[in-house]
Amino acid sequence: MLNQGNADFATAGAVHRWSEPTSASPAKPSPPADISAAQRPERLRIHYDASLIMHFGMETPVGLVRVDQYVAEYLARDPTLDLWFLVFDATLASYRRLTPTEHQLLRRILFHRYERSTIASPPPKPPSLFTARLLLRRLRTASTLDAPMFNHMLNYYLDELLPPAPAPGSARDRAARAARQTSLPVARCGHLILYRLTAGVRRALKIDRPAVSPPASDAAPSAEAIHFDSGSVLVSMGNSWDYLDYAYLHRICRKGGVRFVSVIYDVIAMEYPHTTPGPPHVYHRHWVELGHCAAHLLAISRFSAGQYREFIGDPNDLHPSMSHAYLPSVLRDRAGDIGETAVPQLLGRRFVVFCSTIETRKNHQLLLQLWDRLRLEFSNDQLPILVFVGRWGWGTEAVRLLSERNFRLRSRLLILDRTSDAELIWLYRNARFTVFPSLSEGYGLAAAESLSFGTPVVTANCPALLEATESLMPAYDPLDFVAWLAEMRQLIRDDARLDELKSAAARYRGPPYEAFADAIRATAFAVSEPCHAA
Amino acid sequence: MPRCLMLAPFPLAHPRHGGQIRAASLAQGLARSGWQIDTVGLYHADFFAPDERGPLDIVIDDPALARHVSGDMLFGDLHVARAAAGDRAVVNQLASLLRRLQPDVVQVEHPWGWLVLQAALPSGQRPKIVYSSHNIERHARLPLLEFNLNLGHPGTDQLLEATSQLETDFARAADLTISISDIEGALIARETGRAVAYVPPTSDLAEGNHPAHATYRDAAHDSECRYAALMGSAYWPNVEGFFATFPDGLGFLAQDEQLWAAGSLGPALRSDARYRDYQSVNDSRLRTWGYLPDTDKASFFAGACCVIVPVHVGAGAKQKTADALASGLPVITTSHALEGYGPLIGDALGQGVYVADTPSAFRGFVRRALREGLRACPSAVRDRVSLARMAETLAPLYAGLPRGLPQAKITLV
Repeated sequence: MLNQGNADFATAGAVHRWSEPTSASPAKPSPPADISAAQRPERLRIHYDASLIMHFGMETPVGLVRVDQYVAEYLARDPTLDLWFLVFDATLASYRRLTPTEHQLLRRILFHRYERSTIASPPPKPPSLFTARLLLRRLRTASTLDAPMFNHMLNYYLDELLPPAPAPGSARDRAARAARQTSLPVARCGHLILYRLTAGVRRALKIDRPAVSPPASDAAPSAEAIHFDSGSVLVSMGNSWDYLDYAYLHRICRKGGVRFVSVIYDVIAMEYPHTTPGPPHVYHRHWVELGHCAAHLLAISRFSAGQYREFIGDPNDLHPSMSHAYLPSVLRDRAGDIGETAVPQLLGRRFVVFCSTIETRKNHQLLLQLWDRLRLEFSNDQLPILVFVGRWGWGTEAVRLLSERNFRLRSRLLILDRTSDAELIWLYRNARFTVFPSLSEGYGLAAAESLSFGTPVVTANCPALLEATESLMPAYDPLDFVAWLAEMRQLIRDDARLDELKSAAARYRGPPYEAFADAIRATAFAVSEPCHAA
Repeated sequence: MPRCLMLAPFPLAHPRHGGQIRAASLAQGLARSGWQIDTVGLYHADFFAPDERGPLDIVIDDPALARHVSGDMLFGDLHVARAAAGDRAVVNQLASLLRRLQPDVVQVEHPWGWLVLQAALPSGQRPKIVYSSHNIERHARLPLLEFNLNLGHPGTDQLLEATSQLETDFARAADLTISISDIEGALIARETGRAVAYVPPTSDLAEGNHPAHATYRDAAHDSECRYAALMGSAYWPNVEGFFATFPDGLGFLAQDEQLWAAGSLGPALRSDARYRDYQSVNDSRLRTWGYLPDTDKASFFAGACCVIVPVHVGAGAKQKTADALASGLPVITTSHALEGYGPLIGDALGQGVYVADTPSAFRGFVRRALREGLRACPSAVRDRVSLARMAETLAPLYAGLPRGLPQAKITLV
């Protein structure tokens, strides 16, 4: 578990300094090469856009949310920085500081997010769930939740109280399973009655406010647009196309002198416009405005930096200062904090993992077609289960058809769309191998993560994936069915081939945990230089 | 006072598109030279609104012909002209006008009217004939066929040939041929062996580009932006020109640098799929103003940092180029858009008129104009596209016609 050090979250509007890194931190930052704390008595103030982190809250982070959390936490622990967290407030059309409640949540997200799932130390006994007061609170909360949300919460608590047990398991496991199977319908039934009853009462009394009010501090937040001084450094790691007002960004950067630092994850919407959830022009604008406003852009791979130049820079005569740094395998580096949780359905089974949102670009179709062919060649015992780890995204009709209607694949396919980090670690460690046939990637973090756990991965030959895997793994054209089929056959049938890839995977070095966040930090220092000089 | 009957394939009461504006300016130029002008439009009723019609216009109202033309718009003018020439009533109506008005000169805008005029001319002494070429019609149609394959059909080659033949025959038969473009004038002269006079386009702005109001300047000030002005209709070469020049959208501009488009071009751009590919960026940098009355043109230009003419296809000489040259602003344009203006702008190239034929070069000039400023088009160039200069050109050409002056006196190309 991580400690949050001397973070001060107590007062609204206070400057929140999260400085003292603890010995538990795996990423104790060293002073930057060129600017030591001694040379710079004043700590560098960085404004950090925490909008995305706040939006996703305590959800298991994936993709760029994970990156955002990792960088925010890393910078927050840096004693040489004076980090101010901000959120973009659409009603103010401006950034503002966090409210005290938001600060509390942010602290939980950054410093306590890994606390509950471990197997190394069994989950702490849940707080006294059955005190009368707490029970009343739980019932009151449950009465406001609709069925899907209630089921989600129910599963969350049941996982803690009655963790899934492998089949067939001991007598105790069997008892736990039985208790779980019994309690679920009872709780759902109870919720249904409670929900309908309270909904009826609310309707009758014409109460349209939620039963659970926001805390008083948030009900009237001291929301105030922040004023940036010229030369201020603003870091935004997230998908700000969802919320940022670009006219505002232009104003604060081009006219107000704010040094804006952001990240280029990819420009795939320009390369494969049909693969994005929204219209590609929305992302295009984001990248163009970054090109106009950013003091520096950090790409997550050499390939992404090159693609940005090709698809955004050159056509728009934009040549922002750019560099690239690789993302760490947060899962591997923080495995000690996160722990490991088995996925019961896969205990004692052979399986192959593809960890990714289910969306057009990721090319799940290829794997489904491959497995449909392989099931004709291999017995049920021989053919590993194909495991998709990731939520359903967009453009998934073909995958749904292939996965849901093809009942012949049912016993060889498992889709896990709500996987915890601890389960993911278990999956990486126990998979026979993993696959990553995506049409294009900005980096391919899941492929790198697989290697960081020593598990071979077969990837598409997108240059970013070659960077992520340090060219150690077999890579094929994502549309070359025949090549993939041959490789899958070998890896399923031939342990020698698998061992060969495992040896190669063992040579994977991977970027240091702190490298990417350090690059952001160094960038912040670099872009602040003219200001300091002045 | 000598009298000229102007025969056009469109009404001239309210000139809007380039051809109408050209014909109207010629009429004005001649009027300034002391000629009495009667305009006769010869067209199908379905293609122009009733309130556009002039008192002498000959309007054909044959539903079958309208269907035929609608099915083959590329050669619509030729089809209407052929039908008119074969229609005794139309020929008689024109002959009657000629008898009544007794013009010294009949000026035909575009070659089409020649088919009817030949049949309507008196057998004895006839008025002098002027062929006013707006473009080489065959050349104007070829890129259309390339652009839209649906426009072609098995008879296309024959119709192109007939068009070409009509132009050549008419230029040979006419007492005077005037061309809007120096380049095309030379081509017609070479093709026909006849002298052709070069009469460049004019712009209203050349004689009065003082803004009537500050609406656009104020709007730019209020939105804290600088803008490049673009004027044009939804005519396809304008649309194609825009996307050929800005194929990757307008992201090369910062948010306080914009493109302001006047005319029906704006809505045409916004509805194009190529615009929507980069819609968010384009919406933040393109402002459209719709149709602009002539009185607003000067005001529109007055607030701008430059005028752009991004045209890559089309024949003749572009009216919007004349307006740009007359704006008094830096003009950023393609070399194609300057075709037909060679003798007028030679000394202004790089000194007020900036030619860019690649997207990158074009973007560079626009940014320079918006950020650093570029030298404006010299006033001498503006004078060359004025109505006064056109009248000076036309006066000697037409003065000799009724008396049968030798054509050697004509301004030759």
